Amino acid sequence: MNFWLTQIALAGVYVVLVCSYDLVAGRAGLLSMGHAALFGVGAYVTALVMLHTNFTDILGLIPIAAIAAALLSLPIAALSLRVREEYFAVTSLGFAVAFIAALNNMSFLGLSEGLVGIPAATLGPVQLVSPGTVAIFTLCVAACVLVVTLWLVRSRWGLNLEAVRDSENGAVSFGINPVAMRTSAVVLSGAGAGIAGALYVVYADFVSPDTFDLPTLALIVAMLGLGQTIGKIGYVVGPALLVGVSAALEYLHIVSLTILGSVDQIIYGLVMVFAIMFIPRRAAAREAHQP
Amino acid sequence: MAIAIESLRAGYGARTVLFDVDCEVRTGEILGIFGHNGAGKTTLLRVLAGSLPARSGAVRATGGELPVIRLVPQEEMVFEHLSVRENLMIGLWNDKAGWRTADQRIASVCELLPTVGRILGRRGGALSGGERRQVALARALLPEPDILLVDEPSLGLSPVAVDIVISELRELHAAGTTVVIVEQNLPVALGLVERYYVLRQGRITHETEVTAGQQPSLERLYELI
Repeated sequence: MNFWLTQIALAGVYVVLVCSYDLVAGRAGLLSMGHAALFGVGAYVTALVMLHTNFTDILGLIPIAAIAAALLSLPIAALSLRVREEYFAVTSLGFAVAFIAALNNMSFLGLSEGLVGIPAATLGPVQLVSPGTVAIFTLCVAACVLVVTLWLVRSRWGLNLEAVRDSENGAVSFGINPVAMRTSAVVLSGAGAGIAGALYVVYADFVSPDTFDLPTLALIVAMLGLGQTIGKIGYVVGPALLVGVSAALEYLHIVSLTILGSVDQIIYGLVMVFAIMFIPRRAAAREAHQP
Repeated sequence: MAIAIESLRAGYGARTVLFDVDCEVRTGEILGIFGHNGAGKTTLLRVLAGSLPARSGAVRATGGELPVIRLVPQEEMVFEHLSVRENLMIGLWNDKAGWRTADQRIASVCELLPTVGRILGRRGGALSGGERRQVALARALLPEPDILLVDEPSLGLSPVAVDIVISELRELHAAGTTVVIVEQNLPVALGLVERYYVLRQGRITHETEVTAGQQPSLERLYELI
């Protein structure tokens, strides 16, 4: 039971990641390779604050993580104004690689072992320790992020963002400011990744560089792409399906634990290859933007 | 809600395109602007639409309130991954009242342009040339403009599609909208307009009122241009 509760919490973290990634990769059409790194920024900032101060209130930590990741997404935003498409993907990948290198080489970030011994987060008088409370709390936050994302993509802002993605000149001719749209999308998406980072610390109570490296990025891309093929419920179905498959493989002992990670990676990689083909292609007739 | 243009100069960068243009748009008319490529017709429409500032001279609204003016440009600017409905709503994003009443407005525009009503759920990228033109026209109509500026509505369309667009413009005019049309296809345009200007190398060289049943000869018009 506890095993499945932790998997539910993990799926909640990924729902937040997929929602925020859709803003930048789906709606803005910027295939950012820095999303896992921004997730890491949120997690490391949360962990550092909890380790070095006695502040453990998760409702305070989430905004701190969100702001930190949003600030560090500014270089990616600046990038998005200069390069497009595959060039943007490659240059944002540089950001991600630099981030992992920094984690592995800066002693105050715990080097390759990461940061351990993080105290338990609290929500008012409640300690977020038992798998049940962690799962419920994570799902609540994920639900909030989901609602905000659905609202954003149906808003005028979401419509304008997609117009800029489709044709920058066309959008400008309607008085839409592409610089403001792209920057706000990247920064909002970064804030979402930061929230996911804070949730991850509650879920895992340690952070290490591996968690925020390219395999996680591949997983996020795979989840979003899988979700794109089925519409808005994909925000939940993509993460649930891929976390579920991985958990089932582990739970049913179908493959031995030693190679489980590799099998997961192969599955995620394959799904990503198919998923990436679907990300820029929106479903033919989605529900319209409503006033 | 007419517009008077006095000694207008306009252009792009170092190039001046319009020189001392004087003309007017009268309330309720269908006005044609004819001329060769590069004569400055599109530039004049852009100044009227407010998307290009005048270098000198004046563009004034005569008769009280400022009219709502919308331009249907030559290149339709249909966003390929957005649905037709979303494409229409882009035209309202900056208009709070319009955005709130978008559903009613789309419904009423679709009464005039039934083709658009049938394709509201389709993606912009999946439309034919004629459908794209209809979507661009519908989008310009959503803010309920007093004056509609149409740049080359027949460009790239089949004769049947041209007929449809022209009869729609006629209906719009009958419903009280002032229409200004730039058109190279003179036989089509002459059947529609009530008055026209000939623009030549950035100057207005000719103005004619078209009286019903008395169309000016095409030969004469070609000479003027």
